[in-house]
Amino acid sequence: MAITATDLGVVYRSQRRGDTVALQHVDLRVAEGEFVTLIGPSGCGKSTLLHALGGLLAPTSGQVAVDDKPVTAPDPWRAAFIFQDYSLLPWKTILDNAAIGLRFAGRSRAERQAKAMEMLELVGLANFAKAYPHELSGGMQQRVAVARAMAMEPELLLMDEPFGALDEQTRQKLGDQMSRILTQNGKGVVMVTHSLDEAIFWADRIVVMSPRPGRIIREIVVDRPRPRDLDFIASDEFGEIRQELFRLISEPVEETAADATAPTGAVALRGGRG
Amino acid sequence: MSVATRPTAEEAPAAAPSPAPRERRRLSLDAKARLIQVAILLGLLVVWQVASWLGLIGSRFLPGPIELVGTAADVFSDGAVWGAVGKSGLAMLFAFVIGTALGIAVGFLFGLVQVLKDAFFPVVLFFMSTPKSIFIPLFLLLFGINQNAPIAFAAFATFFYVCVNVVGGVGLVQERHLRVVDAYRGKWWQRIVDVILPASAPGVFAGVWYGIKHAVFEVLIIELYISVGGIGALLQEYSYLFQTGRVLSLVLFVVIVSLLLGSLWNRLESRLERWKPEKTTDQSLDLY
Amino acid sequence: MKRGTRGYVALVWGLRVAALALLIGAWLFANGPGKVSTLLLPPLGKVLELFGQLVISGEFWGNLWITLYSMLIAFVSAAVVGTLVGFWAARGQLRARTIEPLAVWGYMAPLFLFYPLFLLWFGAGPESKITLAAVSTVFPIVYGSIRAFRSVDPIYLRVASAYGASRRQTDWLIKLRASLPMLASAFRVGAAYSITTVLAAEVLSSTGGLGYILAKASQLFNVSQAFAILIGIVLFVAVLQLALNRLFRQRHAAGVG
Repeated sequence: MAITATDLGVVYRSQRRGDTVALQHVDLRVAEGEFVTLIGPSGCGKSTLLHALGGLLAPTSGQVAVDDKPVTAPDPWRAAFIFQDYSLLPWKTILDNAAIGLRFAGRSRAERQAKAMEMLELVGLANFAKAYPHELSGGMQQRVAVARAMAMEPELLLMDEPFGALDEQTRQKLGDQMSRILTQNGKGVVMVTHSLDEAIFWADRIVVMSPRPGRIIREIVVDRPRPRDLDFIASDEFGEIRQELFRLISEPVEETAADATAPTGAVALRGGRG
Repeated sequence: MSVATRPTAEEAPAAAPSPAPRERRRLSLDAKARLIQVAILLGLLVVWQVASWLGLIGSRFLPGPIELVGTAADVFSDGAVWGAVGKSGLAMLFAFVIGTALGIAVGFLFGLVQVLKDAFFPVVLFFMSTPKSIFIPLFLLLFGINQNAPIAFAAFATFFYVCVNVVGGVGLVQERHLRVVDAYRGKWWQRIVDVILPASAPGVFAGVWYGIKHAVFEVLIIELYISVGGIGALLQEYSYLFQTGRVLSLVLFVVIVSLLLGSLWNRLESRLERWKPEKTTDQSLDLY
Repeated sequence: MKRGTRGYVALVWGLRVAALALLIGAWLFANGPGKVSTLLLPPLGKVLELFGQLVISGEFWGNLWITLYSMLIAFVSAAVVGTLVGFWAARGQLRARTIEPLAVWGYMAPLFLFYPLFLLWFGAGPESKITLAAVSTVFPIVYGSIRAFRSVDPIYLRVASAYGASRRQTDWLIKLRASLPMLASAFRVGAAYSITTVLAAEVLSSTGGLGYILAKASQLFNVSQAFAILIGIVLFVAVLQLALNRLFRQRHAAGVG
């Protein structure tokens, strides 16, 4: 199952502030099982793109399609969201939160509780099934959000800065766990992040976006088998990609196909678009 | 919702160091405060009684506390008094049910249909802070001098407070929680049951509490105005006969009951909102 | 239709006009074909005419003045006393914890029910209204001012002490200014409480004031007059609220220094 965005455009309309072009002429294809990270300066529309890919947001122009069928609404069985602020429902227990997609799909209580428990065990939170979100730390809540998404057994996970609200240590710990879970299950992932290290470490392919109005200015392939050890971070390849990314983000330049040069071991697939 | 890291089971808290064996046990701040409050109240009672004994305050003007207790015993052993209490109570109940039901219905209507809210909520807000008592003559004209007037008037007053609080409650609904329902493909009624209702619960609770308060209160006020039976009529009667002690007994009775109801309601709210990290301190101050 | 567009604003006003038209239409219908007794619902025209007469009559303004000054005396005394008590109570943890719940009780309790006693003690003149309103209002103001003075951000206090501010300087320059927004809010509530209490008391039993003329008119079954006075009172309250809201405006937290 591949998700394709074709000539995607999203414009936010407001009486007071006029129209804001969030995304412009975005073409993106996410292949099955591929891990793609979206990175770019603040306000570049990466979250907007993610929401559009998942059908949460209707594009103003262009379209999003799954295997050539246009996407008009969210379908958690196909692509499940994990939001930056976890957005667990505070009045539901951890178990009920994890089971929520199944509840909306009308599954029986027994079935959804069993599945939710299975997912909670996967993320190591089975003991907290009866607790409420406010009793859990940020990292734990994020794991519940992951369990919630995984319970749908989607082919694709859409993650919006999943580690954004966490401190460094929690981030690393959670990252380890996630790496294990994701690779085990062979899921495709589109992950929005503002951390260069995360963008490189996780991705098969890094999509770099320009500041608003958001366009894709570069795609960088990271040619290393997953899951990766932490010593990948210390490697030359990592360092070169990081430098390139840093350059791209801090001075967004118009890139053309001809200019795109590849750091060692990585191939830039596409150049900038006008 | 706060995302602050709380001491959780994940990070096991270190055991609190036990106090040194020789340390005196000091009273907590709250306990001290309580003691002082009790002392103040007792002190006032004593001053009051002494002033009464010394004849500084005429018994007609304000009977001393001991005499008051005796009077109260008289009052509350009188079947007629309880009959009046029952009569008022019934009117309060009806007023509460009608006013609160309407308030919740309209409150949710406003909360969910933005256009209606923008058009008419300011009017509701205005009337909420307008003294309702100026409408008493109107209601008496419309409903006549019988039990319907207190019920209608109190329901009318109650409605505004409930409505405003429910609208506030709906305002607590967060877009990001609704987004979860959308992202996980919940149907429209699941939006209501799984997000809107639980999120707006604090506002609805506050609304119901104000519903109780005002149903009780406005019935009493209109009863004070005109003789339709009930506690208000008794208060009028005792006042005309200069039976200050009786007036005081009845009033204190109502005051104590309403304070009790208040704390009961608080207790109930705490139980039903175990999922909240901290109790919402209700800041909306209401008016007559 | 999206909020903020001109079409939306038109819709909102359209709804309001429609509702008003409906009300007026219903009233006129009740007067005419509906044959509702004029004792219940006086003719709209008559009410408006009487209202016009009211506005130019000295009687209305004289009584309005009585209500207004009763409210002002009550409110100002409650505000002064309440703020001083609140300030004193806010200075110490123990004081605050002791006094604040007492203020809350006083505020929660339906003190208005003591009005019959106040009538006995002070008579039916404005004194009973003023004392009742003052006593009722003092509690929310004490409560509000304690919270206002205790919620001064400790950062400001630290800055003050780091720059060697004396106790008095800290009190005036920092605590007072930083607590102004919450104080303003408490005053707004207190003022509203005062006017409500005064009006309610006047309606129940009085020798003067707006509530008094309203009650008198309705007791004499002078229904049109009562309606007209009611409109006058509602307008008076609206104007007063506007003035109070402007006076105790919700300012942003005043900057320090």
